[in-house]
Amino acid sequence: MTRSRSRSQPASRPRSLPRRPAHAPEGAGEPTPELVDVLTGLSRQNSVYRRTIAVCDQLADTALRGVDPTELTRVFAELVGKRIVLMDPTFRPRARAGGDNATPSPDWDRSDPSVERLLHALETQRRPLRVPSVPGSSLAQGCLVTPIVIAEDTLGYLLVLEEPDDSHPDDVDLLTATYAATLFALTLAHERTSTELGLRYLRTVVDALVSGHFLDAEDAREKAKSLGLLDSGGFRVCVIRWRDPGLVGTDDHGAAQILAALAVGLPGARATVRELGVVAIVPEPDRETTQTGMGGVPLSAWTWPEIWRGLSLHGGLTGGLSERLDRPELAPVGYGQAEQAVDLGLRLGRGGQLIDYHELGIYRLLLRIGDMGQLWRFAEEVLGPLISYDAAHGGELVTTLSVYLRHQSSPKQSARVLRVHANTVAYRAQRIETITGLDLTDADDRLLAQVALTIVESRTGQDGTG
Amino acid sequence: MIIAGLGAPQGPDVDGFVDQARALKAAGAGVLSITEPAPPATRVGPVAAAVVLHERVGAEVLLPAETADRTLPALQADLLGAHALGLRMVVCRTGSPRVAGDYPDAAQPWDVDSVRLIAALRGLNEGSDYRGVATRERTEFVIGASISTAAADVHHEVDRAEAKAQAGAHFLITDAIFDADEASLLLAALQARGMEIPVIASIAPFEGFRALERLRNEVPEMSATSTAARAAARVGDDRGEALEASLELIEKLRGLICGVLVHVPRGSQRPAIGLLQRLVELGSRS
Repeated sequence: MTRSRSRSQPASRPRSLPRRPAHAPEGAGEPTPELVDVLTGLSRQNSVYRRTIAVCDQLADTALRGVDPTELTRVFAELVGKRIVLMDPTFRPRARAGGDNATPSPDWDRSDPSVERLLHALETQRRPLRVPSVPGSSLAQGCLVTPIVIAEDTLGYLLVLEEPDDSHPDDVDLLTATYAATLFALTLAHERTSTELGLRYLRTVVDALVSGHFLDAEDAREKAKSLGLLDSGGFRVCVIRWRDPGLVGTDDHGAAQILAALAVGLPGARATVRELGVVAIVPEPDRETTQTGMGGVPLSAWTWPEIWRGLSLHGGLTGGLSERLDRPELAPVGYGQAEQAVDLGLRLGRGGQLIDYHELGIYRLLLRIGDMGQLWRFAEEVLGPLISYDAAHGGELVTTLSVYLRHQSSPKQSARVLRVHANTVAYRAQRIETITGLDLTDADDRLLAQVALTIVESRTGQDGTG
Repeated sequence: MIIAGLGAPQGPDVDGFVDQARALKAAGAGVLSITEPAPPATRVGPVAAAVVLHERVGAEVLLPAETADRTLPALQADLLGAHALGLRMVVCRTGSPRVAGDYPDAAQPWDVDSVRLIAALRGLNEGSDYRGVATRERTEFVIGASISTAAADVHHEVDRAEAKAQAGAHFLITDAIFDADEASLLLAALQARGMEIPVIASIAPFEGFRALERLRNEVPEMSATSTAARAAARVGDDRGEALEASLELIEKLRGLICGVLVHVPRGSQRPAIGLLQRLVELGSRS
């Protein structure tokens, strides 16, 4: 039996009851049992609030000294004598302190419906919740969870873990945890501001480098050094652009997602957001270093198309990649190359892919002609009759021409690729010359045909540079 | 409505507790209830026990919440946690501060009574917390309030019941009734006051005379009459007679109550199962 009649059996008395004033009338002085109960209660409340205020004062003092969230967690645990866990906004442990370090943090299985409901309640209620220790469930560890919020932002969660012998929840925990959550909010907000300022600085430097806003090679080198790029063997410039120009600049969420993906998949990359897309300076994965990304696999083990796929970016994004550059002052050149690569990718209908400038070949020259219509007209002048012939007869003369030119006009090699007899290839070559008026033994005519073919193939993305 | 009331399990092995609850549900209990708002230190807490029943037995569970020794923010944190885990039905009691027992030093601030707790839960249902700050999502608490049919001052008890209903209680639940005449008096007084709130009668037929003595001596508001004491003493520990006496008591209260909560003695559920089955029969006849 744990309860008794408090009116008749108070468990304890205040250490000293108020004395009867000297001038009080005789017989009016002895405190009644009810008064004793009230005084006892007030004395206890006073004690609880004093303890709470003392804890809060010391914690505030610590927070105002500018400590980081980990240190604040340690001090809070020490002050309240409990195990404390600081969780990040996605409910992953960020810092823990107090008690036996071997004691694990609550391991909430998100696939468990109870855990899912609790997380939903924390997200929507944004108020402290006490989670009981439920035997035989994934909620084996009881705790008080206090959201750390500023306005609409949830910066994390503060957990006060129940000890095995805590059968009766201590309300002081709630009072102190609620106050502590405010101090944690300030500390985390300060940390976030510092991080954001740092990121903003880095973006400014990236902007300056790719735009050529540096005094000389030495200045460019200093800027690259501040980005941590000089430690690697070289770098590339990568432009990531929405299919719809300008969307990134107006869609902060989309840009944030790209930056987050880069931070995980290419940890050494330094990026900035521009009107048409995200621009990143990416250290070339060094075969001799072990820098990792994408699930901890060394970046040097990946090809660029694999890295691009590993970033798992939105399908509407197209990337352009410069050649490898060794000197920071060449960053503007790299930026130009990446822009050209992504431009061509979009023009050629290769949206959603990473276009490597190095693999563009003849396209680099063609890129200089901004008017694609002019290129199409040229291709039609050279190969128009052949295309029409194929269309009318269901032929394969355009394909045959492409293979024939790629195999040094060798009927035998072309026949192997086309899976036909060499005589068939020779016959088709004659038909091609007749229809187009080209002389395939003439070097100039072969160049005309090759360029026209490249333009035609680019229309259908058959060039093989991706 | 037939409710079976259980004490919290003694330790972390809850299989026996779950089996007992399943048997009571099979016997006809539509709702289960945890009857101890603040079990001793070695037991599983009431919220945890209710969650176990809710998840493993698949039953709605009445959760007791006592304001004694607790602050309103702490109660809100407890009940929001319970709500997140699927518990909806809460019975609010003021209770008595814990001043003795195995852990006598649990001195805590105590700043609300059951009426304010009821009002706070109603606020959460309507989209604001006890401070009046809007919440993003409304809760769905079904709020119960306790009444004492053995109260020394019936008029005062009816006033309190009215205050609880006005604060937002959806139903009332009595303390364990031993004297049907005494209970009828109070329930009739509620009706006379024009209160149309549903009332659930609690009975603890298998706890007998010793339980009544304990209540008389240890619950400050309790004033069990000598008639009730004599009736309980007469029944003594004869469980067959206790069962019949309970049915007779419920018959007498017919028309005044809409449900019955049967306190199931720890470690012995057979007589309670028999009573639940008889209550189901009684309900189907009426």
